[in-house]
Amino acid sequence: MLLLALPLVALGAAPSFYGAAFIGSGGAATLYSVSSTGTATAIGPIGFRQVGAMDVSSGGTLYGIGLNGSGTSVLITINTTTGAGTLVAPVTGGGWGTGSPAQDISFRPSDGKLFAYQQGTIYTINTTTGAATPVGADGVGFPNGNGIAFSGSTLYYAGSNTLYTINQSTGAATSVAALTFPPAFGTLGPRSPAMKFDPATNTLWAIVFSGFGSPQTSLGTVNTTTGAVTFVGGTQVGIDGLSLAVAPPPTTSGVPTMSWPVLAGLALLLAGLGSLLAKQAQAL
Amino acid sequence: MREGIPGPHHVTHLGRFRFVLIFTGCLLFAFGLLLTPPIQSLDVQFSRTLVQVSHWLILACGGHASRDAAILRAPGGFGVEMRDGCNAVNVTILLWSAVLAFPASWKMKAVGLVVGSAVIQALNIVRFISLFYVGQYSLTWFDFAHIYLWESLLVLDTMVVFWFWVSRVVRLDAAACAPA
Repeated sequence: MLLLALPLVALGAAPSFYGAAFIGSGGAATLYSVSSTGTATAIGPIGFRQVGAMDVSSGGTLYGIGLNGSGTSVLITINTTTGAGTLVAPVTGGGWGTGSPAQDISFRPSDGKLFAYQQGTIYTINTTTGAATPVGADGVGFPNGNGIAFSGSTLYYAGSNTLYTINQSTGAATSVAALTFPPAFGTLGPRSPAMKFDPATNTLWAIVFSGFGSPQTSLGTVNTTTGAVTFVGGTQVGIDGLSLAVAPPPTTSGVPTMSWPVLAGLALLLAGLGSLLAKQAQAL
Repeated sequence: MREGIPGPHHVTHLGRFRFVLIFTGCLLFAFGLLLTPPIQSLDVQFSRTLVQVSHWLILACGGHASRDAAILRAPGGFGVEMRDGCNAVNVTILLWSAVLAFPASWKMKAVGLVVGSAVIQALNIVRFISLFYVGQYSLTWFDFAHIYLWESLLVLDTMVVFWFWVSRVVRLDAAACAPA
């Protein structure tokens, strides 16, 4: 089985992506760089299995959920230069299937909270402890596809051939439109196992699989009003879930309280003022 | 005046030297302590807490921001990070050293430490949030506000807080010494 998880990592007219792929149930995952046309280039082994869900936090850290060597569901961070994964914590609690990975994850832009879809239930995941808190069942069951993505404050979910929105308080899914896939995606049950929204181009990107075992795998975009999926190009062949994630721009500034010379100056001022006032206080 | 007994002039000089000595000692001790790994770890945690508070305040006022560890990020992508040296602990240490060195009762010193720290930290949160918004508007103004405006305001704030506290101490001492 080959799985890919693709987060978008650069903003602009032609976004690029990262993808995590694995072959076979429980297969070792590899990080890929994927172009906006779908071309995938291997970066390196992640060191965990079935990493089929990834997203980038607002701080630029690439998170993923997969399985460790004992088959336990774990939250990891992934080095985007080497592909190496680092364990954050096992994902546990709230009825989370500890022997299963997530189908997809997505950070909520407004507060950075990590949402995850696993087998028909929406969870939030604590990115420090790995604790899973159930939001609720989506009411759709556990169909094929199962990509999730935040577009602004709206959480979209692709269940089989239907696009839904998810109530972020209850987990309940509301149908938006039927997903329509042109023949270029393949005709054997096309579905979208991963989606991510790119705010720079206002585009909901999706990975589409067609067929089972060794499915045709493609990159596309989704019209969130009509459900029409537009073919962009073929990408790394996979069998199950994929995810895309939007990377933040690298404009982060530190804001030191004051420079060392100014701090030294303040120390001298305080020493001067203090000694003067101390002298006056003693003279009273 | 008998030989060997210091007069008022000696007393006042002694007070000055005592202040400078204790002030310097406290500074060296506190900044040395700040460099140790356990305190560094607490320092990082404190920075994250300040960012958490800033994030909460922004959301409570209807603003939009996301938080990732010690980074506060705007929906447009601009982010400010509270790194080591950004949490006003260094300024607080200066104020603490001055308060501890000044001749006052321990009760008044405790008041100075607590109230002074609260004022400096509150102002630092205002500084952090303001820089978060100024940076989204203009990086030129961000640099000006960060490097010149807020540094000056913090220097002024620390001096005023210390001076105000000393005034209280002197006034209370004078009241206590006044004849009934």
